[in-house]
Amino acid sequence: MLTASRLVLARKRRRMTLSSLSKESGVSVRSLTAFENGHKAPSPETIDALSEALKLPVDFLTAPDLDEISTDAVSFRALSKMSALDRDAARGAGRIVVEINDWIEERFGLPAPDVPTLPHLSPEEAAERVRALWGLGEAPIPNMIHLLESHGVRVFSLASDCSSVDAFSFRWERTRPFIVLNLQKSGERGRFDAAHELGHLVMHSEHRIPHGVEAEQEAQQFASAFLMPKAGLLAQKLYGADARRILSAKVKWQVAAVALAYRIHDLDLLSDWNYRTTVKLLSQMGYRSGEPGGIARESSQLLGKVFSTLRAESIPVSVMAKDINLTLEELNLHVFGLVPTVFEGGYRSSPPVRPDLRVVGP
Amino acid sequence: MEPVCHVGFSAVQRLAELDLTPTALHKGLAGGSAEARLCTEMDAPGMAGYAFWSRSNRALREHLAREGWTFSNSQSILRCIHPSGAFAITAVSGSGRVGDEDADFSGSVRTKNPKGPAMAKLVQRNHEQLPLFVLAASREQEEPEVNDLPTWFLLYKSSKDGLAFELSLPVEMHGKNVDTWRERIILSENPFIGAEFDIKRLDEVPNVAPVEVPVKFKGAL
Repeated sequence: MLTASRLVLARKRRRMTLSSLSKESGVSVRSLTAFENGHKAPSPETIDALSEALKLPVDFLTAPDLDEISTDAVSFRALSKMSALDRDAARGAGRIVVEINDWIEERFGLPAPDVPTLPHLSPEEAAERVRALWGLGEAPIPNMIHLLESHGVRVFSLASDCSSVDAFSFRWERTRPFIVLNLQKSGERGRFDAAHELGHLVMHSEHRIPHGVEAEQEAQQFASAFLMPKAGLLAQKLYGADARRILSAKVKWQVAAVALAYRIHDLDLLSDWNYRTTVKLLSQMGYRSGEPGGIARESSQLLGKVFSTLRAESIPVSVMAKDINLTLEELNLHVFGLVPTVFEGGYRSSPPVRPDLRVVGP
Repeated sequence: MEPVCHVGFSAVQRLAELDLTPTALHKGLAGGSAEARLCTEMDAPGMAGYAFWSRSNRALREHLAREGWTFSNSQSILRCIHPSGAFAITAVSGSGRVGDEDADFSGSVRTKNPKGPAMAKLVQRNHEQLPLFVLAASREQEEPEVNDLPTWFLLYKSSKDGLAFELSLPVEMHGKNVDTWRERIILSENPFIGAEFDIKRLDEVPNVAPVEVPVKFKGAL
């Protein structure tokens, strides 16, 4: 029997309106509405048609109810530019990664959540506080994804069919932090996005969940301060740094050249005129659109270890996909770029590099 | 009495006899380490070491205060005092083979910075005390003066491999350094392994200081 909430989730996940699903499946909009409201139950043949149109197994549509992630709980980048369809597709993807995570947590002991909520602090103060709480001092962060994972944040990949969303984060059941990242970007941008989403989790929580331009700016400032702490930059003597100096200095912090220029300008270490000249020069050198000679993209240590253990235990990934009622293809979309891509019967590498797959024994 | 080095389970057991746990030592050192990492080249030279010393003692005291431990800064020796008043602990930077169970009991493991007459007196008293402090007996006595208390050293040493540490009872000085020990307690569990725990290399690009994400398989499906 079809589960209404799952049909809604699947349709949204596929970025479909009722009318586009109707067109794809041959089921009338009126019937679809009745199915989604739970007023009518479809025949097995209709469920098959819906399953095919939605590219999800029949089991996904008939499994027990799933709660949606509420719109308020999610921090989206560039919300103003997003359509409701984009937003819903991302929320649907978010719900699926919660399912994947639940499956993993049932079978693996993972770090418990340890992300403070500091809605009352400014971005600079919040970044300093998190650094202090996590004992990071003023030193560079070698790997953002590993750092997040070690503090109980579950990091997943943004499904490529949601790429308009960029990245998003949420606290599932108000306590369990998730970050979903677009891993098609440069390594430096990926790190910045991860720190940006951490900013949302830290500052935009509890009673304070603002959206829009203000929240985005706060998260940007948090990411900037978190990845490039003020005292560290001051010690690096970056007063009046030119483009060449910035390109050398950014290596320490593993950030984009333009992001470092912005940060030192923000800290009054660079005059307005010098900032504009420097950014212009960096843009001409190709550092606005990308990061020439940049770092490799970060990958997930947690998922790497999980999939590696499954392989060592001869547990096919199809078991996981089947338990969560997903196709392998759909499962891959959510871990792509974080671990070697999972295929039935083996693995193929997905860019950029395989993580260090050391397994902590049972 | 022959000097003794406790390692592995015996180390944890000996700590328990002193009403201590590995967590207490870890908390103290983690507090010092986090504080030292806030220092940059723009701090005074030696600030990281000073911050480590002060904050590791503070973190240790804060952790143990809940269990009734008190403290004293008398003669600038930052001591955390057992609730019975029978002995004290001070965190202090070490040099030589700190944390190495094969090190000699004399000369191999030293305090890093030169120590003065107050410390010399303290170590001398340790030498004269009975090796084991019988907690129950001491509770019946008058409260001893803090500078008469046997004092254990929580020695720590940072290197490019991370932070090594041990809890040891000093009994002799040679020159300005405390370097002879009656008992050494070395825990096998050291959560401070990794370049990020070397406070001397704060401003370099870390080579590889990976964060370990613990993932433990619960067993067959």
